[in-house]
Amino acid sequence: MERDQVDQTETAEDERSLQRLRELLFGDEIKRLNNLQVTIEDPSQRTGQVAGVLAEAIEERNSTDDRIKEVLQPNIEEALHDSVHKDPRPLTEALFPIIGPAIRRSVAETLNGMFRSFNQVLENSLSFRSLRWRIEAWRTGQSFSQVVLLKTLVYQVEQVFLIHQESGLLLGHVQAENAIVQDPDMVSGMLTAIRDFITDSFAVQEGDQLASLQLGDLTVLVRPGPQAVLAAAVRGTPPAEYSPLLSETIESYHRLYKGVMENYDGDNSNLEGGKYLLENCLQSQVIDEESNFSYKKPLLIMVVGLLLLGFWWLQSWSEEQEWKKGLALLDAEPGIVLLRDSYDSDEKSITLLVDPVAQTPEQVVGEEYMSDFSPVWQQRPYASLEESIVLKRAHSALKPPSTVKFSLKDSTLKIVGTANQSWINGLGNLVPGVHNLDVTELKAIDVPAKPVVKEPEPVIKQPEPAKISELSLKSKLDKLGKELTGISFFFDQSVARLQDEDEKLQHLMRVLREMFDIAGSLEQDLRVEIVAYADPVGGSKLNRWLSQNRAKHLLGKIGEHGLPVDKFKAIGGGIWVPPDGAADKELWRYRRVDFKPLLNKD
Amino acid sequence: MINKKICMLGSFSVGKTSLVRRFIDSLFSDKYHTTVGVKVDKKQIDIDGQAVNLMLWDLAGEDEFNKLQMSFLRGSSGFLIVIDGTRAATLDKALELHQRISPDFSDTPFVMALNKADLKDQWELDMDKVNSLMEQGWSIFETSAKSGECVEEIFQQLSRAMLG
Repeated sequence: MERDQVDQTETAEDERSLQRLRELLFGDEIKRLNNLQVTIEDPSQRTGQVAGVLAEAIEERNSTDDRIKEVLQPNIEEALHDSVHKDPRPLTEALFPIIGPAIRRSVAETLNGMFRSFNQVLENSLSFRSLRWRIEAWRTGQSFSQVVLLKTLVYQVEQVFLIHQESGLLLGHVQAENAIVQDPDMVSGMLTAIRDFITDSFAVQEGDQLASLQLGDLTVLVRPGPQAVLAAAVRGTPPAEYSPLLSETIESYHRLYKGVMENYDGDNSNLEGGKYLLENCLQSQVIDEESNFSYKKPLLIMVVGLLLLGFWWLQSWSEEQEWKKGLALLDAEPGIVLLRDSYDSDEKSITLLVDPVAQTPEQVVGEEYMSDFSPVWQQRPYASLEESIVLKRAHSALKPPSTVKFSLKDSTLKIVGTANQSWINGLGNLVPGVHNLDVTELKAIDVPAKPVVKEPEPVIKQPEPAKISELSLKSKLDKLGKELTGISFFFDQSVARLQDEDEKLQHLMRVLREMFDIAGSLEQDLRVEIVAYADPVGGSKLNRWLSQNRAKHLLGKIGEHGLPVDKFKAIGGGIWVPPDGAADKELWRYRRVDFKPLLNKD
Repeated sequence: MINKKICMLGSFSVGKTSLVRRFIDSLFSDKYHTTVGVKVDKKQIDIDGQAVNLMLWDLAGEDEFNKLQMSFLRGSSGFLIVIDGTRAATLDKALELHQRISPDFSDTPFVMALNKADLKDQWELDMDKVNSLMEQGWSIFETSAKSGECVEEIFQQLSRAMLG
């Protein structure tokens, strides 16, 4: 216990001795260390010291990198947010001096764009173009303003320059493919000179710079930045969103190449990477040919279409008329009854009742009609009660000698003339359409008193009188032939039917009948060509058609009078040629039917 | 390709435009001098294999009516100061111009052209003054727009100084 107390006393003594030694050796340093410790541990003193060097420290760090900005950014943002949230007034007051000009500038730019379009509308409101736009608006169902907007937005950015703000040297240049450009280096320099000139010449506010130049429909839009200026030469009126694109481009350049542009030494190679930004500004909205003609093309197609339609309609109409003419001929033809017809583009058909002794439908309509339409015939046989057909049928069935004439009245066939008894005896069979026979004026010329007389020999054995009779008959036939060739029928213009020519027809029939009688007696085959003509007025096709139908009309008349139509040939002669070859002023003489007898011995 | 802006300075009618006319690509007419006050031309030269695109800002000559527009000088990498050898006053004017640009362009190289060397018998220059300038290290050339004497050399010299 005593020992412990002695030890403690010695230790305390040592400590004191050591302390005295320290004070003797490092008295001042110890005081300073103590003060330093107090300074470090005392926050108020430490703050004072940091505050003294803070600005210099920030400045020094900023000169090496942007770390302070990065570190402070979230705090500043948060502080601003909190400040506005807590009380917006201080910040509003702080921003007040700049917010007005910023808004004014933005509004001015927007209005400027609007006014440009508006001015163009005014300029065009009374022009031909505006009328065209109005028509287009009406046609497309858009409002006029929509159309104007669409049209005024058409533009092309021809060139974009990036110009060094200070020296006017060209940093970058792009141009549209079809643009005609001058040396961009010199243009860049001169543009800068002009901008400087305007800025110097007119008292403008500090920082204001030329924003655009306008010449006709070409506008040079200028967007200045601190180091470089972007200038775009635009033909036409660019859309509202183009201006912000230029601003964004110049901003991007400054963000990406700030250092390069600040220390620009004339070398553009470091800026090449940003060329895509300039190319992005080469925008255009061009009226392509197609849209330019969008209203003309359909109009042209419409007109051509209408013309084609009109032509097609005319063609079909005239074809149909032609078709109807054929039907009318068939309908008028004795022994033919038209039941129905079908005029279809694919198939044309005609359904008819045809008497076996009547002309065939093909003969009635003619070869040309057949080749033009190729109608499908649907024919059903029937017995016509028309006078001419009944007479024809009677001729065909009874085969009368030429000295006998038939006429029909109230279904009674009157037979006049002379015939041999055997023929008369065979008259028992009636033909359809003939209910009675009137033979009161029919005389038998060779009534056999005795059976011997029936022998033909005596007649043959008397050649002399026969010869005399033959000569006189021939001479009469000649005379009649001349008379026949002298008969002509004349027609009205464009008409294939005779008007009130009964007397002449009767005369014709008499001559023909007599000629056939004599020819029959002389055992000669008489044939007659009915040749019809037309005047030179109208087309050749119509004239051919008219002349053919005039001939057929006469043939029909001849048939109606019971003459053997198979001995006649209806010929369409086209346009008549006067005998002397000279043109005849009286056109009616052209519209005619002549007759030409042809005689051949059997 | 290196781009450099050069301004040509000098009194009125010292022959700045004539001096370079034969050696440059020109797009704009001379009337720009009297309207805008400057005409920008281009000259391409080769300095030791390095192509240099010189944009020549031919400024309107300064006289009592026409003041030099200092804004046109911005961004210049070199100056060509032209003097008319037959008019002594043009040397004084050149020195005055040099004085005026010096504060802003103290490190920018320049060369001086004593023009109208073809009329040397009519020169009125104070050659002592010229020689003292040369002794100070000024690059001074005797040039003739008429004969083309030394014109290429001026641009070569100035370009080397700018690139150096």
